[in-house]
Amino acid sequence: MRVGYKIFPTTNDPGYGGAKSTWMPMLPVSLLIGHSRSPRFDALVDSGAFTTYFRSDIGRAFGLRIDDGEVGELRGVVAGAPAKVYYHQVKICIAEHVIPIRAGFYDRLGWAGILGRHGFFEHFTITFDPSNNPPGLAIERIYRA
Amino acid sequence: MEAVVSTQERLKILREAKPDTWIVFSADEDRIVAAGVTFADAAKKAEESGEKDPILTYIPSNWEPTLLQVA
Repeated sequence: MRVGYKIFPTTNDPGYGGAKSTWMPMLPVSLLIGHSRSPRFDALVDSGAFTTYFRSDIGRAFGLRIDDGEVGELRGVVAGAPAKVYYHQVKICIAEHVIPIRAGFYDRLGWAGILGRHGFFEHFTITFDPSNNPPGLAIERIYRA
Repeated sequence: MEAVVSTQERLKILREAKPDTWIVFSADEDRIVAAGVTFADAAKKAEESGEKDPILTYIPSNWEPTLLQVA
């Protein structure tokens, strides 16, 4: 399955090098929480993230008691106080695939979801392909014996 | 709330959207069908719109570059 990147605004920050927009590897996913399935939402495909995170309000909308999860600390790559993240067992739905994962929920995550190495990359082979316009990613499920 | 979305229109919508809210796109992402302050609010409005299999997009607090941002 190939999924096109999605375009997002930029700012005058020099890191963008004057670009007015940027293409980002976003994948529409949904969560199965108990027997409730969320609508799809855009999550960032991020191999730099240790595990997979979602904004807490997504879980709360479908009855997840965020604060009852196992609490951990989440640190960014820039200096700052760690944030509390709460881990829960949920199922992630990507196209026809429904996969049980352990995901972190955080109130102020900068994106709706971040698909990291645990919970996402361990289940799929991902190829980032910037050669087309728009760029895209190819995603293939890994099946283990 | 319904509008056809081109790439430039999508950028304009995202730039002008209120930070820390949600926008609901149609399944093919050609239209905006709803918006909401919270995920629950946006999901409810998406369901009420009758759109099949919509996609919700979170509008972050700003569009500055970020790396696994912890706010």
